[in-house]
Amino acid sequence: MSEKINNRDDRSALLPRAVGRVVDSLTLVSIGALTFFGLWASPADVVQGDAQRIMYLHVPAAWAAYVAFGITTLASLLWLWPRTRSAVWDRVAGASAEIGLIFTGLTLLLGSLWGRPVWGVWWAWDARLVSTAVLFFLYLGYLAIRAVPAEPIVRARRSAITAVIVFIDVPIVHFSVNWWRTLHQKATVFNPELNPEIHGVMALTLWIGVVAFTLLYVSLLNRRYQLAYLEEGLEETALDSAILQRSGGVK
Amino acid sequence: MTDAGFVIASWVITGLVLGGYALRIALRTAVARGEKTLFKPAAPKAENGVDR
Repeated sequence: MSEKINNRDDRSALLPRAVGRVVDSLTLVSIGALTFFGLWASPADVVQGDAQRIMYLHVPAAWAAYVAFGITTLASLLWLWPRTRSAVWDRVAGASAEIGLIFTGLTLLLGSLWGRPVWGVWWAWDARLVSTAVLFFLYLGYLAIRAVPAEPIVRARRSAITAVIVFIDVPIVHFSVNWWRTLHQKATVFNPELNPEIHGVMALTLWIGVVAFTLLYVSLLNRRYQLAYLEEGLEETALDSAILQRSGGVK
Repeated sequence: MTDAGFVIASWVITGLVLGGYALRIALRTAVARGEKTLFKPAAPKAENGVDR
């Protein structure tokens, strides 16, 4: 089979070096601002007290996971469409899914830490929590499929199809609080009425969190993409060397 | 644990998870570029088996 991935427009980095540095700097500044507003400037909640401050990390982490999985799906579709097929999209999909998995795991951990003081339990078999845990394992499976050795074109195709299928759980997670009776609160900002139920410094802090985690996602994606590019090069070198050795050549 | 304890724990865990992941990427990148090695290569041996 002579089918090949288009590597002519291949690139070793997603962002130009200067842009990457600006993103890294803005990420650090925004995380500093989030820590200041989240721990000091923002008032404690009337009902939940200080425990509500966990929301400033929990919601942005969930948002970053949605963005990461959305980019994975988009990149996978661009790979599947023959006119835009490129190794770049396969790398973006894999890198973004891994980062999304980290953010989903963090969302579950932070949710558990928030649930204990507010609900009295670390975990509940609630539609939002269970669908989020399912999301975590779906993308863990996606990364396992990516790790199965195969020809690059075969691996990229099976990964892209899997990514499109597993993304179905993202809207289920988001709308689970509307579709079922849940212990988890309904959406505060992106509710069906698009009428945010958070105001003032609390809303500002939440938005700073969303911006900080989005920038952090971009920064991590840029770095993880570079790593994927470098490791692919090493794999090719190792494979060439092994073939040469087997065929009796010396290297 | 108090509410403040849960809040501090959440910030610390977030820092450890995200910072740890960023560090892992940085280390793997350095290894892939050949700037760092995880294992020291074995010392080369002379023909008669005696370490040089």
